[in-house]
Amino acid sequence: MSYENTIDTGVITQRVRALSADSELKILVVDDDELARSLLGDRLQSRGFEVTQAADGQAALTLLEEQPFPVLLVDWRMPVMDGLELTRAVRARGLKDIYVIMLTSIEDELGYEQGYQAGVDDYLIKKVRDVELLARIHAAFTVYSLRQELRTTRAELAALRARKPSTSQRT
Amino acid sequence: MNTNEQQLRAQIATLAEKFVERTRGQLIRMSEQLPRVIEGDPAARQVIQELAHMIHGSGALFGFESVSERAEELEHLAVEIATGAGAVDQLKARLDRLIETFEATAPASPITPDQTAPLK
Repeated sequence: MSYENTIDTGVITQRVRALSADSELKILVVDDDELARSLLGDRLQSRGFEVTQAADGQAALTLLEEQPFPVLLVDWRMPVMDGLELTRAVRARGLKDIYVIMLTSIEDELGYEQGYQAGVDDYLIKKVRDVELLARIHAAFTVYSLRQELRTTRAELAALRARKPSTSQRT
Repeated sequence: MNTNEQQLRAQIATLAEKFVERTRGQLIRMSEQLPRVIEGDPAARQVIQELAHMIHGSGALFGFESVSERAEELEHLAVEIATGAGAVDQLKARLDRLIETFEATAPASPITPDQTAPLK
């Protein structure tokens, strides 16, 4: 097999860390294929990401209850709980900031539509090269960081509005 | 090439070897299930579909693109057979194509003819 590895180690993680001082470079890889999990994990860990693996959707949900993961890399078809069901469960738990990338071999447009409705943020074909994988991971952390900032800003704005006296009380 | 890249390449090479060995075993299992599919066993058809799906996906990840494509063709046929749209007598031909492609791509010992079950 040929494997191309042309990305400077660390450059992507440096950019992700620049997004926020609190950025945790944690990725949860969910796939029932142990070799696939390990390959993706090794490729991402070598670039400085902290990768945790889960063999199915249910195991992933258990891990999500224990610790935060900004990015999920999820295989579509798995036993016990597939990628779509996992995504719906993640969103139903209020975890709306998490960026979900669905790994697929499927080129089914109807399936993609179901994914977006379930709350999937992005798709990657499994034969993805490192260049594209890391670009999408960088985009994922960027979006997660922006979602968090937006949520914080909205909460602060709501708190300010709650403290501001109404105009009828000033006259 | 720095140390980190060397380590990654070594890790990937180890995983690729495991993929080859696992796929060889899966191809033998699919060959064993073939007569049962011919007899109409849905569980045997499901085994072939699931194993083909795994080879399709991980073959693509590990860069065995032609193996992945042959596995995808086998997987699609297995799905079509389940819905009544596929012909069971085409299954052996697609499995044979997958095996041939794998043997042409992967190193080490080939799957011998007596490990593949003939159609009755």
